[in-house]
Amino acid sequence: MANPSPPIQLIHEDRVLSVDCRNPSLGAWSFLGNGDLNPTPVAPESPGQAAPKPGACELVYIGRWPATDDALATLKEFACRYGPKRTSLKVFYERGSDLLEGIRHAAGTQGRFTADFIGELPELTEEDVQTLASRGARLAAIAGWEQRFDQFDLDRLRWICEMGLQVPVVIYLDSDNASDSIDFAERCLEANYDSGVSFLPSILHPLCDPDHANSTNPWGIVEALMTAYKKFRHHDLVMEPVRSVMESIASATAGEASELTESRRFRILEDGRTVAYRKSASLAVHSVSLDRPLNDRCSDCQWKYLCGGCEPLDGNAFESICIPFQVFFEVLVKEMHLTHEMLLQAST
Amino acid sequence: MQLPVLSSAEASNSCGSACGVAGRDTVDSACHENQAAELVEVPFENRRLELGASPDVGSFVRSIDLDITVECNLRCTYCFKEKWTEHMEERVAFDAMVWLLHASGPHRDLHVNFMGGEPLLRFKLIKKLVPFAKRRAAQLGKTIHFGMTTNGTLVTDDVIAFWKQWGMGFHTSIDGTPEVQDANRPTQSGRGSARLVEKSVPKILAYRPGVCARSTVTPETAGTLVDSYRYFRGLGYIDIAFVPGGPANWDDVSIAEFESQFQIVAKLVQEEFKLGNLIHLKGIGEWAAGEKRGRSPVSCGAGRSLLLVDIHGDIWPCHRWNKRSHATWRIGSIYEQFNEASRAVLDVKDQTALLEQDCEHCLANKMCSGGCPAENLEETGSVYRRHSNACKLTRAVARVAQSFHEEMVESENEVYVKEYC
Repeated sequence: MANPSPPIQLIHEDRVLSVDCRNPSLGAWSFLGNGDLNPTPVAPESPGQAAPKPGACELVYIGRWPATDDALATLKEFACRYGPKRTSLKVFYERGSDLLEGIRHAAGTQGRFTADFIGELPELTEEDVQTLASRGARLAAIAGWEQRFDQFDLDRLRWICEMGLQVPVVIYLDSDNASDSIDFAERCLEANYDSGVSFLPSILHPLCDPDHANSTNPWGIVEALMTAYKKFRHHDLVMEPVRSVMESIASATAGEASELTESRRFRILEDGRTVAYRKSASLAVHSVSLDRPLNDRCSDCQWKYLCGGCEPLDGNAFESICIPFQVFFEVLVKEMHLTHEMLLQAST
Repeated sequence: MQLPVLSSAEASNSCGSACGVAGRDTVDSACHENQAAELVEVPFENRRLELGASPDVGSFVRSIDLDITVECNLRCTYCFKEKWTEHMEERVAFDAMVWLLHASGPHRDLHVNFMGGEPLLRFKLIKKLVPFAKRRAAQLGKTIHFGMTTNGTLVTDDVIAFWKQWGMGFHTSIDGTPEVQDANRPTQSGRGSARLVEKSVPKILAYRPGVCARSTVTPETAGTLVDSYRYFRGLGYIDIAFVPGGPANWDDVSIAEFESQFQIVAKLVQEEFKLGNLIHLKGIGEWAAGEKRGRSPVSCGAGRSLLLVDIHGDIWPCHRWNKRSHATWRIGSIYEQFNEASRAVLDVKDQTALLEQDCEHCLANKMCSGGCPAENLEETGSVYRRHSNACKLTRAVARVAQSFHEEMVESENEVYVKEYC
């Protein structure tokens, strides 16, 4: 069997670990493989993937489009600074009509930005879909946080996906909805023609109010994640945290201060100010700073080079982000027989 | 419409110890029939695409034949399809595309051929399915090329425009002169189909001048090859394939007649070459390619990287293979599982090495890959044993092609040498 996927490189301390996924002893054909010997290949270099390239910077803009003049000026400045290295623009919209306008804008400037849009599903025409597909734009739908599952418009999702767009659904979990999430994910997969689903703690929802972040139940998320990985074995292309780990691998550069492997992530506020963040763009707005302090608990974590570390949050908020990642690395990866030791072994 | 699907109870019944991966002697239909299990119907609404129903050993899937319908507006006398009225549910067609993108693993160039029945009876579905699959593939860094095998009776300007827009390929099944066509390929009501096809051909050739006219030749029509060739040329075809069907129906007399007619057709083609016209006649190019290659061609791929997804979502080695009597050759279902054992006998690197004839000493061994495995199975009970008449017919073509090739090379025909040598 031929497998053209190149070896994946993981950066560990000062060493580059090269994991040749063609090695059958790893039991996987793509990164992690999710227990599937023949998963859809995770291919960050694919033109349609819109994944950032090495040295990339990731910008998040949350709000209406077009952005304010101040925000646009900042955006432009960042684009000039990081342009040659490619810039990934993640745009979270509050309104579907804005989202569509933003998509058109990004399709026209795709040479400069790669763009993810996450927001309400807009009305799309066949022509819009063709434009998006030909420009390699990538759509994701989000559910959860303030939107109950029964409010999610599965029919519109089905309609868009039937035209050929791959629209995974990112489901934001908290203690209220985690128990219903698997049933909902199944309905989403039927509607989006197996485009995939993903689960994240609601604290990572871009519009999340951090004051309510403590309502998140990390173990509920863990349970959903564990079930999802067993039940939906073939969607690691979009499933978190595989997706973010893959993007981190594809886009990461060594952080100057923390020496962690990390993407440069910034949120641009509507007033033009810029905020750096590690995990949660929704939290970043409360501490306007270009520094990115690291949570103390991340210092000794063996996965910090893949994870990139978390903001210095307290208690439940931190655990909501960290525990699912920890469980993913500690339990799921080991269950898939891809261990830290194996990564080390593969590098030698 | 609720469609039945074969259950995993049947799918999991491979031939067990008697018919394992390597047992060529055990691939006979008798053995598979003995293993046939009960078919259980699973309600359509309970089915969900199973992405795990894809190869985990052996060849990845690169091409599929997709039976989007088994209904047809013609009733060809030699048709091998058993059903005439069923359509594929739209959801099954969409699921099959997603399944292919997954089951193809690392392969990036994929092919889908719409089969039937007559696929253009489902033109509405095709118009939705092709953009869906092409866009979906692009997002995974892949491409899907679409083609179809059509009887040519339903080709409209809309169809041509759609083919153009999405770059679709196809070939036309057309048997020969109006008399031959009407006799072999009557409509559902028993009337001839020649006039319907004649109306479509100019549109088809205007879009793709090189599209192939594929003629199925029976012993009854073996004496009409020359007339049919002239007819095809008159319509404007430059790629013509005379393919003898149903070898068991032939005898030495009809085979000799076929060879004699084919010889004359070859002479006519030679005249065209001398005038500087490039004409593709099936057999000629295959011989030249064999000379160049110096060994047998790779066989068709059925059961390896080529599979059929039928109207129910069941997976078979190819479009000739989904008869009730073939049940044990069913490889699985896109809704259940992929049964490697069922295709193991076909999923081998060098199928020609398994052929049971004395191919090594056959004149045609560089142009023949052992015939159609499905036809072999029907005629002889083994996928690797050809009917003796099939071999005779292939050798007849080979003799004509050999002499054609030698003459063209000797005379240094510029068009021929440039195309084939």
